[in-house]
Amino acid sequence: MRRAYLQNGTAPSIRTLGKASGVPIKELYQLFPKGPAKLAAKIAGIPKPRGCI
Amino acid sequence: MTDLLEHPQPATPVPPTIGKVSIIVSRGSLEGIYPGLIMANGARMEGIDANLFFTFFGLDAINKAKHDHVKVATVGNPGLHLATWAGGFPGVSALVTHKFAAEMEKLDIPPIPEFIEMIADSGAGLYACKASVDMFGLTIEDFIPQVQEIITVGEFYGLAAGGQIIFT
Repeated sequence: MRRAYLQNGTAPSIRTLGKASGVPIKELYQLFPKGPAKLAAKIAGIPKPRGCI
Repeated sequence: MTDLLEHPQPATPVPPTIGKVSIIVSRGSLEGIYPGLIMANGARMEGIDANLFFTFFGLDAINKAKHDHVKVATVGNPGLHLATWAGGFPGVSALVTHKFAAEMEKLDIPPIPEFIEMIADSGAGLYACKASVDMFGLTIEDFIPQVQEIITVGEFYGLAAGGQIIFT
């Protein structure tokens, strides 16, 4: 997460997160119904994703 | 007379949040479908519950046979700054759609079929409008499996109760 942020200047989107982690987006949302991408960014200590997707 | 030592504190104001959105997709062009999908996906990303209700030509977005062939409207679309007669030539719509698709892939925006699947996976509900389905002579078999139900306007309002309704 931190590497993606440093490389791209923004936290990865949910689509990228699903692709990179190998965990299907469906399971990510089942695990974290309040928004997996936002929570992942919070834990990584980086700003939440600034993309619309 | 007793003195009140503790002053009652006003409750700390809670910033208002949106708990649920119900988004109606009514148009069947690329630029008509994407905004609703982006709003729904964005809502789920923020932890907001989302329902999508497809009506009229918006049904193309969930139609198995059609949702991979949604095009940008090139005729009578002033936003493109393309003469109406030029937009009507065969292939212009396909060409402009192709350009848009390439730009969107760069921005990590998925194509419609993948996007709809992603939104369904995120826990949003997909529904088709009964009046439009009947009018076009369609059945639930014509839609992608993620579509939960064909519902009436009344049922839609029931689902949308307590949330915000967005028409696109």
